[in-house]
Amino acid sequence: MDQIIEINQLTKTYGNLKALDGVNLSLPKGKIIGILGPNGSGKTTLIKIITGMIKNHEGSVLLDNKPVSKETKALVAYLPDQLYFDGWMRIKDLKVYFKDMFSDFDVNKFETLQKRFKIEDRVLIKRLSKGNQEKLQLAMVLSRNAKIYIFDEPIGGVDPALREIILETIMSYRNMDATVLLSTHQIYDVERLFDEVVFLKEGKAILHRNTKELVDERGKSLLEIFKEEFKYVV
Amino acid sequence: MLFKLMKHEILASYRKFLPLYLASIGISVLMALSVEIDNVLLMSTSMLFTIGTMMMMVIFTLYTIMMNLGHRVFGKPGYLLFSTPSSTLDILVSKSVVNLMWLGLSGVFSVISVIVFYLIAVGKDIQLIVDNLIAELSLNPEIIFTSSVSLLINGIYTIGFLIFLFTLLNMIYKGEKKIVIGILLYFVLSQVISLIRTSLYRGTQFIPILGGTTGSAVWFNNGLLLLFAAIFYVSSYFIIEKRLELQ
Repeated sequence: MDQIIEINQLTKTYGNLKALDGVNLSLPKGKIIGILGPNGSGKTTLIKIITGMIKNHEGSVLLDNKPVSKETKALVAYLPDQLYFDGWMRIKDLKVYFKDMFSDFDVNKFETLQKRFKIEDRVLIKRLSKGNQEKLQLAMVLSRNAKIYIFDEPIGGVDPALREIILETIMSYRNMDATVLLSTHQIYDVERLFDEVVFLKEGKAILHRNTKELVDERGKSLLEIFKEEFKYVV
Repeated sequence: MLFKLMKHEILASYRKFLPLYLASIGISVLMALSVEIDNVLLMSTSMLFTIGTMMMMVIFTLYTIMMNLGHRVFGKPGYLLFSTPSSTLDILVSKSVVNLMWLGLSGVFSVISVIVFYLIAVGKDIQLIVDNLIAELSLNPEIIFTSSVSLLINGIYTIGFLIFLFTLLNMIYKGEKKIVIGILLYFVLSQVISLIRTSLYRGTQFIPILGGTTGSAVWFNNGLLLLFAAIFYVSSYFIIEKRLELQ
């Protein structure tokens, strides 16, 4: 099968701490892949390196056979784990920004999502509630017809209702041919979404498997396997 | 991509700068009109207000430029900026050119405000002022040329210095006290540059007074500033290109 992301011997250190330690991963096209691990396991660092937000690392990362560069950034729609809106921006400014910067941005898709999320067009983004800002950021990212979508903890710290809306929207509105990477430490209720899972533990990729095969082989749910791998009490 | 980045860099700041420019001219007009009432105290107050407005403009301009080059590159908005398919060079050039433009425009509007104040308060004929100005310029074209180039080089140096300061800060410090560390770094960098400049001046026959008063000294100073600016831009490029780490 064609691979869209190839990671070889990826190591990233912060002082004496190894955030990533020789990670090797080969991620296929068109799959939904869960990057799972507890807090501090290296999920966000891995994602930041794939998206080019961190350039100071050892090892190599190839996206569609190209090293991380402005060409690969055009392929990736990235939802970081924090809000990145500038104080001056209104929604219409953000729309123009995405339209100018990303050739795959679909305005109609965005307006559909905007209506679905009931977000007004005129207001300054900083005046929206945090929940609406999160939905807006999600709508911008999903309105791109990207080859790779990367969601860093999209359901971290949100209430169960919003969590359901976010997951359902990601599944319905993504480009169906694209690869989706979704990192989370909240396994409950998401295992049904993933074609494949990667477990990160202390900066190492300790497992990369097809979800169904893994669950069938172990005879346990993904949540139970996760707890077992990370030595949590079931 | 460069022009798109520049477009959005302008969009990010014009809502702050345009009202400021209009306000500075408006305040000059109001102050000048108040001077027409024959009162020395009122005239002094008006002059102080006009000078205060100019100073506010300088402070606001520098603050906005610092936000544009610091927070909007290495803070949370940096996640959006660096996820766009643009190169480090595109980002650096767009930031430098647009913020240099704001620096220049703030200077131009400060001068316009002073001229407006002078025209209304003193009541001289605008034609006479323009004629005198043209006569002065034609008598000393080299001074005008040298001053204009020096101002431009100072602007390029200032923007380069700020870009380098924030790039270096992002590389060496990841904690929560960025403002404090940034101010310390500013003083350290300023001192280092000052020492280098002083030592280089000592190797020449020039006597540097306020950056040089003689023609040769001015050009020597300009060359030095350009050299520093080049070092700042190139260093910032390589730091962002090779060692960028958004928090």
